[in-house]
Amino acid sequence: MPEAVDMINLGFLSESEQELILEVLRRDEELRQAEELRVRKLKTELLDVKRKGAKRGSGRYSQHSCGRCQEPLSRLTVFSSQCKMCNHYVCRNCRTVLPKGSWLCSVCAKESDVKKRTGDWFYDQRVTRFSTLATHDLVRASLKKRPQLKKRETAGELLLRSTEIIPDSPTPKPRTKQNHLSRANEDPSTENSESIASRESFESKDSVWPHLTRSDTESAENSSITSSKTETESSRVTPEQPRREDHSVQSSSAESGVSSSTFPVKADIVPEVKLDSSSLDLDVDRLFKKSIKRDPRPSECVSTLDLHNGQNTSGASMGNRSHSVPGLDIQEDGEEEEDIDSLVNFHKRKMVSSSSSLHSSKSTLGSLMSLYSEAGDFDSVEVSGEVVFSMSYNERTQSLQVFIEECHGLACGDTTRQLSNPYVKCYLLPDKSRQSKRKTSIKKNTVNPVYKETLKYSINRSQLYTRSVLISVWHYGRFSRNAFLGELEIPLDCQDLNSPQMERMALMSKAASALPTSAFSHYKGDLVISLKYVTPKKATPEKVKGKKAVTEEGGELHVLIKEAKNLMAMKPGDTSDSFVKGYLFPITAKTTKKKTPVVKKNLNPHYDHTFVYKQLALEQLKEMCLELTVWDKEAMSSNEFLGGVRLSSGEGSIKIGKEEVAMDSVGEEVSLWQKMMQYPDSWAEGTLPLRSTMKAEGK
Amino acid sequence: MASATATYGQKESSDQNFDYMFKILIIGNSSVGKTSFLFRYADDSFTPAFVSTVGIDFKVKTIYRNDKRIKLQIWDTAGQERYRTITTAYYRGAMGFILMYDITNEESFNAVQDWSTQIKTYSWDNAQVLLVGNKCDMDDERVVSGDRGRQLSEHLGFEFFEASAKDNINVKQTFERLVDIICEKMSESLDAGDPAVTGAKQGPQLTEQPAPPHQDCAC
Repeated sequence: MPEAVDMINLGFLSESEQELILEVLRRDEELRQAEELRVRKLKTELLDVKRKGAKRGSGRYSQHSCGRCQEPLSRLTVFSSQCKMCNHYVCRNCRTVLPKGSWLCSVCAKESDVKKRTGDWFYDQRVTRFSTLATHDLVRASLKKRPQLKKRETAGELLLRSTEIIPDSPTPKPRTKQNHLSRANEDPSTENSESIASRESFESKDSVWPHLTRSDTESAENSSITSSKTETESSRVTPEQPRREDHSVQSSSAESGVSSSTFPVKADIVPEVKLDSSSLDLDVDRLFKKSIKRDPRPSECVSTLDLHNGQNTSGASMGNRSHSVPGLDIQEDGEEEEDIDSLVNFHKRKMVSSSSSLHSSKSTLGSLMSLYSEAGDFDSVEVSGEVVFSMSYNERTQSLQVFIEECHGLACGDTTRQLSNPYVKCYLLPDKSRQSKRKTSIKKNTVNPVYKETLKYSINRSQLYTRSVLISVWHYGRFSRNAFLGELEIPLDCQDLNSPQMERMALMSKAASALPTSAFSHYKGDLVISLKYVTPKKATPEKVKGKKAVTEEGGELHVLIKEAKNLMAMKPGDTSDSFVKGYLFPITAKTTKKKTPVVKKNLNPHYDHTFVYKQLALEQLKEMCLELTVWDKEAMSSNEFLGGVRLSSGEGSIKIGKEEVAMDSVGEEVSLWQKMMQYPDSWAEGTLPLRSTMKAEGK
Repeated sequence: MASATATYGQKESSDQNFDYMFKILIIGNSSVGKTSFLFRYADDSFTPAFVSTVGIDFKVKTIYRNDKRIKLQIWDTAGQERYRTITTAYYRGAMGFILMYDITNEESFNAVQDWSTQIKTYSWDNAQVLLVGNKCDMDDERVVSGDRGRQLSEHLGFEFFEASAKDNINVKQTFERLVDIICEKMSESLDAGDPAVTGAKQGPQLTEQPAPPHQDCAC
């Protein structure tokens, strides 16, 4: 029975049966394609609405202007004008009244509506039910390597494909399965939509675990909002280098860290390191943080799109992303760190395929200036003005061209002298490394610079849909610090690149574009785990199921690390040698570090390894936080951070080392943890999107 | 209801004029009447002859409910064990299940528990389930009383109907109730961000809520 999903093959059917079923599958396929078109259209609409919304993200604006249209709000109404979902203060015109008399801001209302229409409210939550099967059965079942289905797929496509693979051969069993799996692997984009979307799923979770999650939703929301303020990217958690303003000062300490990288133990240092994050880099990465407005949407669109283009394109999507844009995977520290090691690593990786990689890495010297500006060393000014630009895709050269025409009404970067020397900088997100950086020239002493410059990115067209272009404007301070003049982000999934039009868009401040879900804004893959709290033998199950079982001391937390999906490729040949590391915070003698064995050359590795944390009371777990991080094993240098998850109740904070760190778990991270606590002695399984950073907000 | 185009097929499936799309799966032992049930609902037709379903099939029907046009893709599954690998693959992504037994067939009733386990194993968390005792027109041959059905449904936390595809009893009601439940679930899950609403709704509505009112058939 558990094999059901595994072994979809129609080999055991007679020919006529196969035909019948295939016919059904074809009808379904038709329906699904129409449906995906519809869904895509809806999501495009939503994106449009969102883009019109002036303020984005975590409500860092003045309370006295509407979060949507930016009309001033009267002081009296401020208190009653906060949208419950996004926490923006909005004016009456930007509200949509719900049937029950409450209201949401227009964007949130639209979003909720789109969720209904697309079915995302349901599909986003795809944890299988809590099973009443004997737990080992369930585990065994879920240990099986299932082919991945797209979230809307209902297996039809899979069946269809697999049956197409099977010719008439009567005994294709093992073979089919293999084809199957490899297909699933080749086609990571199918999983993306599924897993990415799950990030938003905590809303729908509530219905299932109402009394637990209700408050979590709030807190998850809050915490993610707050964390977005300080959340930093540094997906490389490894870099011990505190980013300092002064490169030279840092080099001694930092390089010792980096160049000691010949030891694999490197990774072990990480958690402590993470806590050491200097306050400076809190600012650094905020720039990048905002990235895609809502990653889920674009990439869902991608998967939709892939379908229409046939299956070829889909293979190129996620797994290869790193391939064509080498900087994505590596070099995020390289941005700050021009040390030999990273350069060596860089070349070692031979990401020759990308046209942009090599020469841009050489050009870094010239751009060091702005690197520091990103390291938080910049002035902030009140953002104003707009950018006029257009984007197009050049089929011949296979490149995306961002034409920066001009800017109007920029703020003065140098406030004392009331002048600006603006230049425009572009990143093709999610790659925010130097490989993705393009800059225009600097125009002196003007707030209305005219550039008429084209910034190019060599990239496959099919890969564009997961990307977005971040355009930022900077003041070049020759004798003073650079200043950030504003930015905007354009997701490419809905951009018409065939008939480019000049667009004129208002610049926004950084905080505005920092999204609450920022740690998730770069898709890093997923981690599939199962959690079980094993009650001590003495306590009766009945007692434990109740809210309190205070007496127990000897309980155990079992963390089954099943598999990861769609990991970033870090090694030549588009693979990674990954392992998972677990910490249970606060660290005690019993909850030390655990690691899985390394699974080589696999971006969808199966670890099937269990961490056991002993001597834990159920009550304690509420105050604890489990951090699982995935690493690419590097024999000769430091391990590369591939992503991580943080499981906790999502509330409060926790002492890690000397620092107080907020338990900023969100979505499934919270619900899975809750599930585990709610049902001791049974496995709670979940697929968690990997965070691109483990940085949490320190207090 | 106002399902003007109740015929299935290209016309219906290519129709994009709807608000929501729900996927529903009908499961249960072989020959309990799943296909008949679907045909009655989608085509308003009934044939007493038994033709075993091969693997899976589906029909599309758009209904008008709660001021929304809802397109239903209703999957009919083979009850036979040999197709199980195919049918269970369709559990994922199904928003609603109609779990059917035959009131004249004890075995099919006894299998309900297993089917329910299957749902829990393969379906997604917030999928909704209705238990239906079919063939309630054949009261003479009844071996499963309405009470037993009801009790089991309460035990499992599903709502319950007795129905007859042949006499068209409770067929439409079953589907409409399921659609309503899914709609409720949908609003619930989206309003979850609203503390005021969910705060009030805490408590009994956990994963397996006992079914509220039962609308059994009169026979």
